[in-house]
Amino acid sequence: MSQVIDCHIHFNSAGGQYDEDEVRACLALADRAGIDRMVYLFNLPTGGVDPQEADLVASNDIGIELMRRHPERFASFCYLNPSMPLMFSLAEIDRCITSGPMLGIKLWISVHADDARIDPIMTRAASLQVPVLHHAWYKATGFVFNESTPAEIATLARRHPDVAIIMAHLAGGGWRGVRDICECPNVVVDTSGAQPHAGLVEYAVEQLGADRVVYGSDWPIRDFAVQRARLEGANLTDQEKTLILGGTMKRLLATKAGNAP
Amino acid sequence: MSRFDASAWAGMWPFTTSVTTSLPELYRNLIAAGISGAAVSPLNAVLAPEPMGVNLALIDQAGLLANDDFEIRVVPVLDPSLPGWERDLEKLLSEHDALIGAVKILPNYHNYAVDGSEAVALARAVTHAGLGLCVQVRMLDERAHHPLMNVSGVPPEGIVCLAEAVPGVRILACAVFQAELAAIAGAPNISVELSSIESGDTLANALAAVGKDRVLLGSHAPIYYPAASVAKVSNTASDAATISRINTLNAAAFLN
Repeated sequence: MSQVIDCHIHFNSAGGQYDEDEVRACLALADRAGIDRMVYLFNLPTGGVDPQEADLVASNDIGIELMRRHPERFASFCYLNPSMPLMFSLAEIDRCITSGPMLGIKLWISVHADDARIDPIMTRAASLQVPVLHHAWYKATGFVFNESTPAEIATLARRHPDVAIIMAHLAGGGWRGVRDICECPNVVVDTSGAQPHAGLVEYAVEQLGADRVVYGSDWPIRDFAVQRARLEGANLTDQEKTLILGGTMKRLLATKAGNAP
Repeated sequence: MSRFDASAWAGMWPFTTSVTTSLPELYRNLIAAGISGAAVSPLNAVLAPEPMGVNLALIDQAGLLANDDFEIRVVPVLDPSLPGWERDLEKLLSEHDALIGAVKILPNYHNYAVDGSEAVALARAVTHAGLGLCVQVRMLDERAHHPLMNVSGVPPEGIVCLAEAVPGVRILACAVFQAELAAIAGAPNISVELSSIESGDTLANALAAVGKDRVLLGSHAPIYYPAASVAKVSNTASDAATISRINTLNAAAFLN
Protein backbone atom coordinates (compact mmCIF):
# COMPACT_ATOMS: atom_id res chain seq x y z
CA MET A 1 0.00 0.00 0.00
CA SER A 2 1.28 3.46 -0.89
CA GLN A 3 1.39 6.25 1.64
CA VAL A 4 -2.00 6.96 3.24
CA ILE A 5 -2.63 10.69 3.66
CA ASP A 6 -5.49 12.16 5.65
CA CYS A 7 -6.18 15.59 4.17
CA HIS A 8 -8.49 16.83 6.91
CA ILE A 9 -7.73 16.84 10.62
CA HIS A 10 -7.98 19.33 13.44
CA PHE A 11 -6.74 19.64 16.96
CA ASN A 12 -8.86 20.39 19.95
CA SER A 13 -6.49 22.27 22.22
CA ALA A 14 -8.64 24.16 24.70
CA GLY A 15 -5.80 26.56 25.45
CA GLY A 16 -5.15 27.25 21.78
CA GLN A 17 -1.54 26.19 22.22
CA TYR A 18 0.49 23.38 20.73
CA ASP A 19 -0.11 20.35 22.95
CA GLU A 20 2.40 17.53 22.52
CA ASP A 21 0.22 15.13 24.53
CA GLU A 22 -2.65 15.64 22.10
CA VAL A 23 -0.27 15.21 19.18
CA ARG A 24 1.02 11.93 20.61
CA ALA A 25 -2.54 10.69 21.11
CA CYS A 26 -3.33 11.65 17.53
CA LEU A 27 -0.27 9.84 16.22
CA ALA A 28 -1.13 6.70 18.19
CA LEU A 29 -4.64 6.62 16.73
CA ALA A 30 -3.35 7.35 13.25
CA ASP A 31 -0.79 4.57 13.53
CA ARG A 32 -3.52 2.16 14.60
CA ALA A 33 -5.56 3.08 11.53
CA GLY A 34 -2.59 2.96 9.16
CA ILE A 35 -2.50 6.68 8.42
CA ASP A 36 0.98 7.81 7.41
CA ARG A 37 0.55 11.55 7.08
CA MET A 38 -2.07 14.10 8.06
CA VAL A 39 -2.99 17.63 7.04
CA TYR A 40 -3.77 19.87 10.00
CA LEU A 41 -6.29 22.59 9.15
CA PHE A 42 -7.06 24.51 12.35
CA ASN A 43 -7.58 24.20 16.09
CA LEU A 44 -11.28 23.66 16.71
CA PRO A 45 -11.81 25.78 19.84
CA THR A 46 -9.85 28.78 18.58
CA GLY A 47 -11.97 31.61 17.28
CA GLY A 48 -15.27 29.93 16.55
CA VAL A 49 -17.08 30.56 13.29
CA ASP A 50 -15.56 34.01 12.76
CA PRO A 51 -11.95 33.84 13.94
CA GLN A 52 -10.11 37.11 14.42
CA GLU A 53 -6.49 37.84 13.57
CA ALA A 54 -5.07 36.61 16.89
CA ASP A 55 -7.11 33.40 16.63
CA LEU A 56 -5.83 32.68 13.15
CA VAL A 57 -2.23 33.33 14.15
CA ALA A 58 -2.58 31.06 17.19
CA SER A 59 -4.16 28.28 15.15
CA ASN A 60 -1.50 28.60 12.46
CA ASP A 61 1.27 28.61 15.05
CA ILE A 62 0.14 25.12 16.05
CA GLY A 63 0.40 24.04 12.41
CA ILE A 64 3.90 25.44 12.04
CA GLU A 65 5.02 23.72 15.24
CA LEU A 66 3.49 20.44 14.10
CA MET A 67 5.50 20.54 10.88
CA ARG A 68 8.67 21.51 12.74
CA ARG A 69 8.40 18.69 15.28
CA HIS A 70 6.88 15.98 13.09
CA PRO A 71 7.72 16.83 9.49
CA GLU A 72 7.19 13.29 8.24
CA ARG A 73 3.74 12.97 9.79
CA PHE A 74 2.08 16.37 9.41
CA ALA A 75 1.50 18.96 6.75
CA SER A 76 -0.43 22.10 7.65
CA PHE A 77 -2.61 24.55 5.80
CA CYS A 78 -2.77 28.26 6.58
CA TYR A 79 -6.14 29.04 8.17
CA LEU A 80 -7.66 32.34 7.03
CA ASN A 81 -10.82 34.39 7.43
CA PRO A 82 -11.38 36.46 4.28
CA SER A 83 -13.44 39.00 6.24
CA MET A 84 -10.27 40.08 8.03
CA PRO A 85 -8.26 42.88 6.39
CA LEU A 86 -6.61 41.68 3.20
CA MET A 87 -3.24 42.96 4.38
CA PHE A 88 -3.44 40.58 7.32
CA SER A 89 -4.41 37.58 5.18
CA LEU A 90 -1.59 38.18 2.71
CA ALA A 91 0.91 38.69 5.52
CA GLU A 92 -0.23 35.46 7.17
CA ILE A 93 0.18 33.64 3.85
CA ASP A 94 3.69 35.06 3.60
CA ARG A 95 4.49 34.02 7.17
CA CYS A 96 3.04 30.53 6.96
CA ILE A 97 3.56 29.52 3.32
CA THR A 98 6.00 31.76 1.45
CA SER A 99 8.47 31.98 4.32
CA GLY A 100 7.06 29.07 6.31
CA PRO A 101 6.49 25.36 5.82
CA MET A 102 2.75 25.27 5.15
CA LEU A 103 1.49 23.70 1.93
CA GLY A 104 -2.00 25.08 1.40
CA ILE A 105 -4.80 27.35 2.59
CA LYS A 106 -7.85 26.44 4.68
CA LEU A 107 -11.14 28.36 4.49
CA TRP A 108 -14.05 27.37 6.69
CA ILE A 109 -17.35 29.22 7.20
CA SER A 110 -16.39 32.83 7.90
CA VAL A 111 -17.55 33.92 4.42
CA HIS A 112 -19.34 32.18 1.57
CA ALA A 113 -17.14 30.60 -1.08
CA ASP A 114 -18.46 32.94 -3.76
CA ASP A 115 -17.63 36.05 -1.68
CA ALA A 116 -15.36 38.40 -3.66
CA ARG A 117 -13.14 38.88 -0.62
CA ILE A 118 -11.73 35.40 -1.27
CA ASP A 119 -10.45 36.38 -4.73
CA PRO A 120 -7.13 37.96 -3.71
CA ILE A 121 -6.42 34.97 -1.47
CA MET A 122 -7.08 32.64 -4.39
CA THR A 123 -4.84 34.75 -6.61
CA ARG A 124 -2.05 34.38 -4.07
CA ALA A 125 -2.72 30.63 -3.85
CA ALA A 126 -2.36 30.45 -7.63
CA SER A 127 0.94 32.27 -7.59
CA LEU A 128 2.25 29.99 -4.83
CA GLN A 129 0.74 26.93 -6.53
CA VAL A 130 -0.84 25.66 -3.33
CA PRO A 131 -4.27 24.05 -2.90
CA VAL A 132 -7.17 25.62 -1.02
CA LEU A 133 -9.33 23.37 1.17
CA HIS A 134 -12.80 24.83 1.61
CA HIS A 135 -15.67 23.58 3.79
CA ALA A 136 -18.97 22.81 2.04
CA TRP A 137 -22.23 21.15 3.03
CA TYR A 138 -25.92 20.92 2.18
CA LYS A 139 -27.85 20.92 5.43
CA ALA A 140 -31.55 20.28 5.73
CA THR A 141 -31.35 21.64 9.25
CA GLY A 142 -30.07 25.07 8.20
CA PHE A 143 -26.63 26.48 7.61
CA VAL A 144 -24.19 27.62 10.26
CA PHE A 145 -23.03 31.24 9.91
CA ASN A 146 -21.68 31.76 6.35
CA GLU A 147 -21.43 28.10 5.52
CA SER A 148 -20.91 27.37 1.81
CA THR A 149 -22.71 24.96 -0.46
CA PRO A 150 -20.94 22.85 -3.07
CA ALA A 151 -22.61 25.06 -5.71
CA GLU A 152 -20.76 28.05 -4.25
CA ILE A 153 -17.54 26.05 -4.37
CA ALA A 154 -18.19 25.50 -8.08
CA THR A 155 -18.60 29.25 -8.55
CA LEU A 156 -15.29 29.85 -6.80
CA ALA A 157 -13.63 27.16 -8.90
CA ARG A 158 -14.82 28.69 -12.15
CA ARG A 159 -13.46 32.08 -11.10
CA HIS A 160 -10.10 30.54 -10.25
CA PRO A 161 -9.51 27.61 -12.60
CA ASP A 162 -5.78 27.68 -11.90
CA VAL A 163 -6.20 26.91 -8.18
CA ALA A 164 -6.62 23.34 -6.93
CA ILE A 165 -9.60 23.33 -4.57
CA ILE A 166 -10.28 20.55 -2.10
CA MET A 167 -14.00 20.64 -1.29
CA ALA A 168 -14.48 19.19 2.17
CA HIS A 169 -17.11 16.65 3.25
CA LEU A 170 -18.33 14.39 0.46
CA ALA A 171 -21.15 13.09 2.64
CA GLY A 172 -22.12 16.64 3.60
CA GLY A 173 -22.52 17.70 -0.01
CA GLY A 174 -23.98 14.35 -0.99
CA TRP A 175 -24.99 13.36 -4.47
CA ARG A 176 -26.00 16.92 -5.38
CA GLY A 177 -22.64 18.22 -4.25
CA VAL A 178 -20.81 15.79 -6.51
CA ARG A 179 -22.86 16.98 -9.47
CA ASP A 180 -22.19 20.62 -8.55
CA ILE A 181 -18.44 20.25 -8.98
CA CYS A 182 -18.46 17.68 -11.75
CA GLU A 183 -17.61 20.20 -14.48
CA CYS A 184 -14.90 21.90 -12.40
CA PRO A 185 -11.74 19.86 -13.01
CA ASN A 186 -9.78 21.92 -10.50
CA VAL A 187 -11.98 20.67 -7.63
CA VAL A 188 -11.42 17.43 -5.76
CA VAL A 189 -13.68 16.31 -2.91
CA ASP A 190 -12.55 15.00 0.45
CA THR A 191 -14.40 12.14 2.08
CA SER A 192 -14.24 13.49 5.62
CA GLY A 193 -17.05 13.73 8.09
CA ALA A 194 -20.71 12.80 8.43
CA GLN A 195 -22.12 9.30 8.38
CA PRO A 196 -20.89 6.63 5.93
CA HIS A 197 -23.72 6.79 3.39
CA ALA A 198 -23.38 3.67 1.25
CA GLY A 199 -22.88 4.19 -2.46
CA LEU A 200 -21.73 7.78 -2.26
CA VAL A 201 -18.02 7.09 -2.63
CA GLU A 202 -18.68 4.92 -5.68
CA TYR A 203 -20.89 7.66 -7.12
CA ALA A 204 -18.19 10.29 -6.62
CA VAL A 205 -15.61 8.09 -8.32
CA GLU A 206 -17.98 7.34 -11.18
CA GLN A 207 -18.79 11.01 -11.75
CA LEU A 208 -15.45 12.66 -10.96
CA GLY A 209 -12.86 9.91 -11.37
CA ALA A 210 -10.81 8.42 -8.54
CA ASP A 211 -8.16 11.10 -8.94
CA ARG A 212 -10.68 13.73 -7.78
CA VAL A 213 -11.62 12.03 -4.51
CA VAL A 214 -9.26 12.24 -1.52
CA TYR A 215 -9.39 10.62 1.91
CA GLY A 216 -10.04 12.84 4.90
CA SER A 217 -11.29 12.02 8.38
CA ASP A 218 -12.22 15.24 10.23
CA TRP A 219 -10.48 13.80 13.31
CA PRO A 220 -11.03 14.33 16.28
CA ILE A 221 -14.71 14.89 15.50
CA ARG A 222 -14.55 11.64 13.55
CA ASP A 223 -12.47 8.47 13.71
CA PHE A 224 -9.51 7.82 11.40
CA ALA A 225 -10.32 4.15 10.97
CA VAL A 226 -14.05 4.57 10.53
CA GLN A 227 -13.63 7.22 7.88
CA ARG A 228 -11.05 5.08 6.13
CA ALA A 229 -13.32 2.04 6.30
CA ARG A 230 -15.98 3.70 4.17
CA LEU A 231 -13.39 3.74 1.39
CA GLU A 232 -12.12 0.24 2.07
CA GLY A 233 -15.71 -0.99 2.09
CA ALA A 234 -16.67 0.74 -1.13
CA ASN A 235 -16.89 -1.20 -4.35
CA LEU A 236 -13.74 0.22 -5.94
CA THR A 237 -10.59 -1.21 -7.49
CA ASP A 238 -7.35 -1.32 -5.54
CA GLN A 239 -5.93 1.27 -7.93
CA GLU A 240 -8.82 3.64 -7.23
CA LYS A 241 -8.45 3.16 -3.47
CA THR A 242 -4.74 3.88 -3.68
CA LEU A 243 -5.40 7.16 -5.46
CA ILE A 244 -8.06 8.17 -2.94
CA LEU A 245 -6.10 7.16 0.14
CA GLY A 246 -3.01 9.11 -0.75
CA GLY A 247 -1.96 9.21 -4.37
CA THR A 248 -3.76 12.40 -5.34
CA MET A 249 -3.08 14.14 -2.03
CA LYS A 250 0.64 13.40 -2.30
CA ARG A 251 0.61 15.27 -5.60
CA LEU A 252 -1.36 18.19 -4.19
CA LEU A 253 1.05 18.53 -1.25
CA ALA A 254 3.98 18.75 -3.65
CA THR A 255 2.76 21.58 -5.84
CA LYS A 256 3.99 24.51 -3.73
CA ALA A 257 6.29 26.70 -5.83
CA GLY A 258 9.88 25.81 -5.06
CA ASN A 259 9.03 22.40 -3.58
CA ALA A 260 10.51 19.36 -5.20
CA PRO A 261 7.74 17.35 -6.98
CA MET B 1 -13.84 -13.61 14.14
CA SER B 2 -17.58 -13.87 14.63
CA ARG B 3 -19.65 -10.69 14.29
CA PHE B 4 -23.40 -10.18 14.67
CA ASP B 5 -24.99 -7.01 13.36
CA ALA B 6 -27.66 -5.80 15.79
CA SER B 7 -29.29 -3.35 13.39
CA ALA B 8 -29.55 -3.98 9.65
CA TRP B 9 -32.33 -3.53 7.13
CA ALA B 10 -33.62 -5.01 3.90
CA GLY B 11 -35.99 -3.42 1.45
CA MET B 12 -36.57 -0.01 -0.07
CA TRP B 13 -35.01 3.26 1.02
CA PRO B 14 -35.75 6.08 -1.40
CA PHE B 15 -33.06 8.53 -0.28
CA THR B 16 -30.11 6.82 -1.89
CA THR B 17 -29.05 5.68 -5.34
CA SER B 18 -29.39 1.96 -4.64
CA VAL B 19 -33.05 2.15 -3.75
CA THR B 20 -33.86 -1.48 -3.00
CA THR B 21 -31.73 -4.04 -1.19
CA SER B 22 -32.94 -7.62 -1.15
CA LEU B 23 -32.13 -9.95 1.71
CA PRO B 24 -29.55 -11.91 -0.38
CA GLU B 25 -27.91 -8.61 -1.32
CA LEU B 26 -27.79 -7.62 2.33
CA TYR B 27 -26.22 -10.97 3.24
CA ARG B 28 -23.50 -10.51 0.61
CA ASN B 29 -22.92 -6.95 1.76
CA LEU B 30 -22.53 -7.95 5.40
CA ILE B 31 -20.47 -11.07 4.74
CA ALA B 32 -18.05 -8.98 2.66
CA ALA B 33 -17.58 -6.79 5.74
CA GLY B 34 -16.88 -9.81 7.94
CA ILE B 35 -20.33 -10.07 9.54
CA SER B 36 -21.87 -13.52 9.89
CA GLY B 37 -25.29 -12.74 11.33
CA ALA B 38 -27.76 -9.90 11.67
CA ALA B 39 -30.95 -8.64 13.20
CA VAL B 40 -32.82 -7.36 10.17
CA SER B 41 -35.84 -5.08 9.93
CA PRO B 42 -37.94 -4.21 6.87
CA LEU B 43 -36.97 -0.82 5.49
CA ASN B 44 -40.31 -0.36 3.79
CA ALA B 45 -41.95 -0.27 7.21
CA VAL B 46 -40.42 3.14 7.90
CA LEU B 47 -42.68 4.91 5.40
CA ALA B 48 -45.44 2.34 4.80
CA PRO B 49 -48.97 3.10 6.07
CA GLU B 50 -48.86 -0.10 8.14
CA PRO B 51 -45.89 -2.37 8.79
CA MET B 52 -47.27 -5.91 8.92
CA GLY B 53 -47.30 -6.57 5.18
CA VAL B 54 -43.58 -5.94 4.89
CA ASN B 55 -42.85 -7.63 8.22
CA LEU B 56 -44.41 -10.84 7.00
CA ALA B 57 -42.77 -10.60 3.58
CA LEU B 58 -39.36 -10.28 5.26
CA ILE B 59 -40.10 -13.21 7.56
CA ASP B 60 -41.06 -15.34 4.56
CA GLN B 61 -37.87 -14.38 2.73
CA ALA B 62 -35.73 -15.05 5.79
CA GLY B 63 -37.28 -18.48 6.22
CA LEU B 64 -36.62 -19.39 2.62
CA LEU B 65 -33.02 -18.22 2.81
CA ALA B 66 -32.18 -19.84 6.15
CA ASN B 67 -28.75 -21.45 6.00
CA ASP B 68 -25.77 -22.22 8.18
CA ASP B 69 -23.56 -19.51 6.71
CA PHE B 70 -25.54 -16.57 7.97
CA GLU B 71 -27.62 -16.26 11.13
CA ILE B 72 -30.66 -14.05 10.75
CA ARG B 73 -33.12 -12.79 13.32
CA VAL B 74 -35.99 -10.73 12.04
CA VAL B 75 -36.83 -7.60 14.01
CA PRO B 76 -40.31 -6.63 12.83
CA VAL B 77 -41.50 -3.06 13.06
CA LEU B 78 -44.66 -2.30 15.01
CA ASP B 79 -46.55 0.96 15.24
CA PRO B 80 -48.42 1.27 18.54
CA SER B 81 -50.36 4.26 17.26
CA LEU B 82 -52.16 1.94 14.83
CA PRO B 83 -55.33 0.20 16.04
CA GLY B 84 -54.79 -3.52 16.38
CA TRP B 85 -51.02 -3.53 16.96
CA GLU B 86 -51.69 -6.07 19.72
CA ARG B 87 -53.02 -8.52 17.12
CA ASP B 88 -49.93 -7.87 15.00
CA LEU B 89 -47.67 -8.78 17.90
CA GLU B 90 -49.71 -11.84 18.72
CA LYS B 91 -49.54 -13.04 15.11
CA LEU B 92 -45.78 -12.57 14.99
CA LEU B 93 -45.27 -14.45 18.23
CA SER B 94 -47.68 -17.27 17.56
CA GLU B 95 -46.65 -17.98 13.98
CA HIS B 96 -43.03 -16.89 13.71
CA ASP B 97 -41.56 -16.92 17.18
CA ALA B 98 -38.40 -18.78 16.22
CA LEU B 99 -37.29 -16.09 13.78
CA ILE B 100 -38.22 -13.02 15.83
CA GLY B 101 -35.29 -11.45 17.65
CA ALA B 102 -36.90 -8.30 19.03
CA VAL B 103 -39.43 -5.64 18.02
CA LYS B 104 -38.49 -2.29 16.56
CA ILE B 105 -40.35 1.01 16.85
CA LEU B 106 -39.82 4.31 15.02
CA PRO B 107 -41.68 6.87 17.13
CA ASN B 108 -40.71 9.93 15.14
CA TYR B 109 -41.45 8.44 11.73
CA HIS B 110 -44.75 7.04 12.98
CA ASN B 111 -45.69 10.20 14.83
CA TYR B 112 -46.05 9.27 18.48
CA ALA B 113 -44.03 10.04 21.59
CA VAL B 114 -41.45 7.47 22.66
CA ASP B 115 -42.53 7.95 26.27
CA GLY B 116 -46.26 8.27 25.53
CA SER B 117 -48.94 5.79 26.57
CA GLU B 118 -48.95 3.99 23.21
CA ALA B 119 -45.22 3.24 23.30
CA VAL B 120 -45.38 2.27 26.96
CA ALA B 121 -48.20 -0.19 26.25
CA LEU B 122 -46.25 -1.79 23.43
CA ALA B 123 -43.08 -1.92 25.51
CA ARG B 124 -45.02 -3.71 28.27
CA ALA B 125 -46.39 -6.26 25.81
CA VAL B 126 -43.02 -6.87 24.18
CA THR B 127 -41.37 -7.26 27.57
CA HIS B 128 -44.12 -9.62 28.71
CA ALA B 129 -43.35 -11.74 25.65
CA GLY B 130 -39.69 -11.88 26.66
CA LEU B 131 -38.46 -9.77 23.76
CA GLY B 132 -36.23 -6.73 23.60
CA LEU B 133 -37.40 -3.43 22.15
CA CYS B 134 -35.34 -1.56 19.53
CA VAL B 135 -35.99 2.18 19.41
CA GLN B 136 -34.85 3.63 16.11
CA VAL B 137 -33.59 7.07 17.11
CA ARG B 138 -33.06 8.23 13.53
CA MET B 139 -32.67 6.87 10.03
CA LEU B 140 -30.11 9.47 8.90
CA ASP B 141 -28.12 12.32 10.33
CA GLU B 142 -30.81 15.01 10.31
CA ARG B 143 -28.56 17.32 8.28
CA ALA B 144 -28.72 14.85 5.40
CA HIS B 145 -32.49 14.51 5.25
CA HIS B 146 -34.53 15.33 2.21
CA PRO B 147 -35.31 19.05 2.54
CA LEU B 148 -39.05 18.34 2.46
CA MET B 149 -38.86 15.49 4.94
CA ASN B 150 -36.84 16.40 7.96
CA VAL B 151 -37.67 14.04 10.81
CA SER B 152 -35.99 14.93 14.06
CA GLY B 153 -34.30 12.29 16.19
CA VAL B 154 -36.05 10.61 19.10
CA PRO B 155 -34.99 12.48 22.24
CA PRO B 156 -32.77 10.27 24.42
CA GLU B 157 -34.47 11.61 27.54
CA GLY B 158 -37.73 10.17 26.24
CA ILE B 159 -36.14 6.75 25.80
CA VAL B 160 -34.99 6.94 29.41
CA CYS B 161 -38.58 7.72 30.49
CA LEU B 162 -39.79 4.68 28.55
CA ALA B 163 -37.12 2.53 30.16
CA GLU B 164 -38.18 3.72 33.61
CA ALA B 165 -41.88 3.25 32.91
CA VAL B 166 -41.71 -0.45 32.02
CA PRO B 167 -40.10 -2.75 34.58
CA GLY B 168 -37.86 -5.33 32.97
CA VAL B 169 -37.85 -3.77 29.52
CA ARG B 170 -34.66 -4.24 27.49
CA ILE B 171 -34.14 -1.38 25.05
CA LEU B 172 -31.63 -1.08 22.22
CA ALA B 173 -31.27 2.51 21.03
CA CYS B 174 -30.45 2.32 17.32
CA ALA B 175 -28.55 5.04 15.42
CA VAL B 176 -27.93 7.10 18.52
CA PHE B 177 -25.09 9.67 18.41
CA GLN B 178 -22.07 9.82 20.71
CA ALA B 179 -23.27 13.14 22.09
CA GLU B 180 -26.53 11.50 23.18
CA LEU B 181 -24.93 8.73 25.23
CA ALA B 182 -24.59 10.87 28.33
CA ALA B 183 -28.37 11.24 28.53
CA ILE B 184 -28.94 7.47 28.60
CA ALA B 185 -25.86 6.46 30.57
CA GLY B 186 -27.81 6.27 33.83
CA ALA B 187 -30.42 3.85 32.47
CA PRO B 188 -28.88 0.36 32.78
CA ASN B 189 -31.59 -1.29 30.67
CA ILE B 190 -30.76 0.79 27.58
CA SER B 191 -28.07 -0.54 25.26
CA VAL B 192 -26.80 1.13 22.11
CA GLU B 193 -25.56 -0.06 18.74
CA LEU B 194 -22.58 1.54 17.07
CA SER B 195 -23.80 2.48 13.60
CA SER B 196 -24.08 6.24 14.20
CA ILE B 197 -21.74 6.60 17.16
CA GLU B 198 -18.43 8.17 16.24
CA SER B 199 -15.71 10.26 17.84
CA GLY B 200 -11.95 10.58 17.65
CA ASP B 201 -11.55 7.21 19.42
CA THR B 202 -15.02 5.78 18.86
CA LEU B 203 -15.16 2.60 20.86
CA ALA B 204 -13.13 3.86 23.81
CA ASN B 205 -15.39 6.87 24.18
CA ALA B 206 -18.59 4.84 23.77
CA LEU B 207 -17.44 2.35 26.37
CA ALA B 208 -16.49 5.15 28.72
CA ALA B 209 -20.01 6.54 28.36
CA VAL B 210 -22.16 3.43 28.83
CA GLY B 211 -19.91 0.49 29.67
CA LYS B 212 -18.91 -2.69 27.88
CA ASP B 213 -22.14 -4.59 28.55
CA ARG B 214 -24.30 -2.06 26.74
CA VAL B 215 -22.56 -1.56 23.38
CA LEU B 216 -23.47 -3.74 20.37
CA LEU B 217 -22.08 -3.89 16.87
CA GLY B 218 -24.65 -2.42 14.49
CA SER B 219 -24.20 -1.37 10.88
CA HIS B 220 -27.41 0.34 9.72
CA ALA B 221 -26.71 -1.40 6.40
CA PRO B 222 -27.61 -1.01 3.60
CA ILE B 223 -27.96 2.72 4.31
CA TYR B 224 -24.41 2.88 5.69
CA TYR B 225 -21.29 0.97 4.68
CA PRO B 226 -21.10 -1.93 7.18
CA ALA B 227 -17.29 -1.80 7.04
CA ALA B 228 -17.45 1.49 8.92
CA SER B 229 -19.09 -0.10 11.96
CA VAL B 230 -16.82 -3.12 11.83
CA ALA B 231 -13.85 -0.74 11.94
CA LYS B 232 -15.20 0.83 15.13
CA VAL B 233 -14.69 -2.49 16.90
CA SER B 234 -11.72 -3.95 15.04
CA ASN B 235 -9.59 -0.81 15.22
CA THR B 236 -9.42 -0.42 18.97
CA ALA B 237 -7.20 -0.87 21.97
CA SER B 238 -9.92 -2.85 23.77
CA ASP B 239 -9.16 -6.37 25.00
CA ALA B 240 -10.41 -9.48 23.24
CA ALA B 241 -13.09 -10.19 25.83
CA THR B 242 -14.61 -6.73 25.40
CA ILE B 243 -14.47 -7.01 21.62
CA SER B 244 -16.23 -10.35 21.82
CA ARG B 245 -18.98 -8.83 23.95
CA ILE B 246 -19.56 -6.06 21.43
CA ASN B 247 -19.32 -8.26 18.37
CA THR B 248 -21.63 -11.04 19.52
CA LEU B 249 -22.30 -11.64 23.22
CA ASN B 250 -24.19 -8.44 24.01
CA ALA B 251 -26.40 -8.99 20.98
CA ALA B 252 -27.08 -12.55 22.04
CA ALA B 253 -28.10 -11.37 25.50
CA PHE B 254 -30.38 -8.70 24.07
CA LEU B 255 -32.04 -10.89 21.48
CA ASN B 256 -32.61 -13.81 23.80
